[in-house]
Amino acid sequence: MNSFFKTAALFFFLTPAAGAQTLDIPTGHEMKRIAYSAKAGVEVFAEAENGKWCDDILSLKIFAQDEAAFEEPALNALMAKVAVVLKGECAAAQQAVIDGYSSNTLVYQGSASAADKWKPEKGTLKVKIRQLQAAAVAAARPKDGFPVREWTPPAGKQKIMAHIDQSALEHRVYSKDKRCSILYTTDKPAAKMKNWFISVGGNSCSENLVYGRAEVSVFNDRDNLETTLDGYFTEGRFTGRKNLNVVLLNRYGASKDEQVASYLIDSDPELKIHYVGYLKSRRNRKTGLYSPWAGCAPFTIAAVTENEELFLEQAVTDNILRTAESFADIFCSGATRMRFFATTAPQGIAGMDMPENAGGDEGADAESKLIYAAVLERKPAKKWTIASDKTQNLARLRENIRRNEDLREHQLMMADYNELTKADYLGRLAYMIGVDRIDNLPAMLTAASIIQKPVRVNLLVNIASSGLDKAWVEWPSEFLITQASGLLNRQGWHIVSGNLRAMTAEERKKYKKDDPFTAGVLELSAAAACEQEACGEVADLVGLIRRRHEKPNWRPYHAPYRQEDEP
Amino acid sequence: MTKSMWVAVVILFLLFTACGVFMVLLQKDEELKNVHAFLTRNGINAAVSYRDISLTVADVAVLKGVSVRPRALPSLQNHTKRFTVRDYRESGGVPSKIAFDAEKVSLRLTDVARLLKGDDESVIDALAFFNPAEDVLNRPLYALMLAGCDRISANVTGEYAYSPANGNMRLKAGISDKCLGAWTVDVSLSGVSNAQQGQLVLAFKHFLRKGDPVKDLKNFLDGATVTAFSASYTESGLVRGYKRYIDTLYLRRGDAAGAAEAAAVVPAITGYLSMANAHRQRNTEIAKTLAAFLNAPDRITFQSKAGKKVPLRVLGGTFLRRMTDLLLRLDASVVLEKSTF
Repeated sequence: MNSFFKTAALFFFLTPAAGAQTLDIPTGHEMKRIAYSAKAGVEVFAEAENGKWCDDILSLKIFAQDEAAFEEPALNALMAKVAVVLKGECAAAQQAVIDGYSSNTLVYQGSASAADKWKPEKGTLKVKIRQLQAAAVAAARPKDGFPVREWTPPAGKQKIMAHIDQSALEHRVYSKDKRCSILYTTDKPAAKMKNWFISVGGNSCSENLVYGRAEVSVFNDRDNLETTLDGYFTEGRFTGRKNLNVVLLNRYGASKDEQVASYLIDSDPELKIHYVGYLKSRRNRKTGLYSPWAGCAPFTIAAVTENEELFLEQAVTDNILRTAESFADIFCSGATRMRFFATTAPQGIAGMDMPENAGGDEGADAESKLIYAAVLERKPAKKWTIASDKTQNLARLRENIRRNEDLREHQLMMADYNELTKADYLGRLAYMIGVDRIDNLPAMLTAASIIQKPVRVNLLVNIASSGLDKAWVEWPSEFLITQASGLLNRQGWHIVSGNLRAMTAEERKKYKKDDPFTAGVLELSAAAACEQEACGEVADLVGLIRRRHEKPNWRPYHAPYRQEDEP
Repeated sequence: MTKSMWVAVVILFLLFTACGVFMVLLQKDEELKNVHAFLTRNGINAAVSYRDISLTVADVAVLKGVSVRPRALPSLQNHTKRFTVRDYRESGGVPSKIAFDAEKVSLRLTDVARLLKGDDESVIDALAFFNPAEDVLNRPLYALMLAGCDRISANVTGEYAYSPANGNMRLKAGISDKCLGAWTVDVSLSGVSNAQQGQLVLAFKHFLRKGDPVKDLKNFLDGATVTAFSASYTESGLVRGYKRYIDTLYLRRGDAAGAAEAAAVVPAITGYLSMANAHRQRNTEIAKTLAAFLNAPDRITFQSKAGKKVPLRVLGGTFLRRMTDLLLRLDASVVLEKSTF
């Protein structure tokens, strides 16, 4: 036993096969604990099938009390010790898929292999993805799919039918016997195309459209051969020598010279992303003919999602980019340039699926749909790299702007808070309804009597009774409110605003009001009902500021977004 | 005694003085047997009008239906039902005694405020930011109005006595009104020269004619000494009305908060009094009496101790400070009584 194994043996108890503990996890899989450390608070289980856990590919579940166990140094150390166990207990193991749990939550996903001496790959990004996924799932969304603007994938396994936009310059051209057809891209008018026909060779014309390899001759209305399309077709559209077996989503036109078709590459229900690719057909200005549909120069791919938060984390963004890179390898293996963008809408983003200066949504609307954009390049047999000067993370920019706005608002709210701590009760009431001051009834009635004009006032009052259009106040004194219809609908404490005047002699006689400085009439223009006696809710300064700024979670004293470990 | 009371005392004093001098002049021209001619000769006939006049053999002059047009407020509507002057005496050509009473002196405080006001905004601001303590003296008219007073119909009395030989003067005045309450003040002074006494006459003339009565009275009491002082106020609603205003200002609704505020009055008054006199126990007693009055206003009387004298020149500071100092130096007692007002 070498010194390393001694150390490992001290750290772990090797589990004898006969006395192996097993664990039934919720999925129903049987688990066998192969190692644990009470000191470190870590247990390592291997997924077993029919009681057998050792295989060439293992599925390991690591349960840790502290999430820190999955940080790179700790996990490396742990796997080094697990490797010792595997060497003794399961020499056949070559790879391991690792799921890490903390507090019964999946916080890590990764893998390790014997070839790499069981050193785990960097897999912590799954933690972030899981967290974001949880946030996305928490948002109210339909259970069957995750719709996006301007395109909603059909639920279940229903077939996706391509939507053909009016801007699409294409016509369906049939064979003479009408058993076969193609969707031919041309800017010629429909009336002229009416009598065009095709001759198809080498294709069975499934579903009345040419799919796959075929040789199609296109004849015009004068029975002259217009062109021959020898190559592959997808849903009746000619893709030249590229055999693209894809599900077309949208067929639209950026301009007369550039036509576009999008296709669904994949949907990631976990992250709620639809990966959409784009094909283009360009018009030859000399011949007037359109090129075969192509999408590899560059390979253009969009991550269509409404979960903008995915792109706030670099690790998650990198993961999505890697996914896109893998799709590039599948659909365009030789491509050296890729345009990737994330968007909330599957089409119409200028500079992405559309040309910079033509078609699509304009200005702020297009900007609001775009979340992230990057151009990636690679040299043959090399990895993709981001051409950084073309990268823009609008999600992060928007988040930064939002945070700056939040910070500024926080500063304003703190200023309000500091001001209000010094303000008296009336000052707080005034703040509550956004006025300069709360007035005193005797003082303002005196003023109205002196200047012989109505005075604009804001008063704290207790409404004793209210009728259709008027109400009587019982505090600060019994006076009349008129024009109350629609503004006052209950008794109790209110802050009322309007024009206050002294009662006329007739009104004083009518209402039997002798006291000249309480015999007032308020012509109501606004009223705010209070929740507590005498609007006592203003004692809660934080609540007051939260309501005023519509920030229900705001707290004073410290700025938002400060991390816990910051000084 | 509150600031507003002191202001009312001063107003009353001035009114008394002015009316007294008016009657002195009237009596001096008694030979003419024509009051109207007297007013014309003194240039105040345009400022005073009356419906009827009578002179009795007992040297009592009675004017009925009197209205006055002060120079500062020429359009102020006012009316006095009956104005009576009696007991006029002279000593060496100087008026030595006179008494008067005015029945139902009627005016509206709102009219006065309208005539004195600046622009509308200044009125609104002054009332919106009215300080119920400090502004009682700074803006007594507004204070009275905020207490709920507007229409005044007061009975006013006044007595004046002066001895040119020794420079002793006694001024006595009273006013009784349903809103303002009943006020009396009785002041004895020594060391008032003939020239200073004559300034009263001049001030009265300037009250009705071109001139500055305040300037005339500025040095009126220079070198004088207060030898006796008494004053009283009987509540009829003025203090309660002002308290009601304060309650609305501080959102009090007769709850415990009001009692807590009242409890804070005693130390506040004691502290103020202690700045003039270090006799803390006496100050506390006075403060308690004043606080009791403010809590349940009725009749309050200030009476100086016999034999105490205070030269006015030793008093300084604001009007309230001077009055406070004067009362403490006179060792004045403060007594609360039940009234039947």
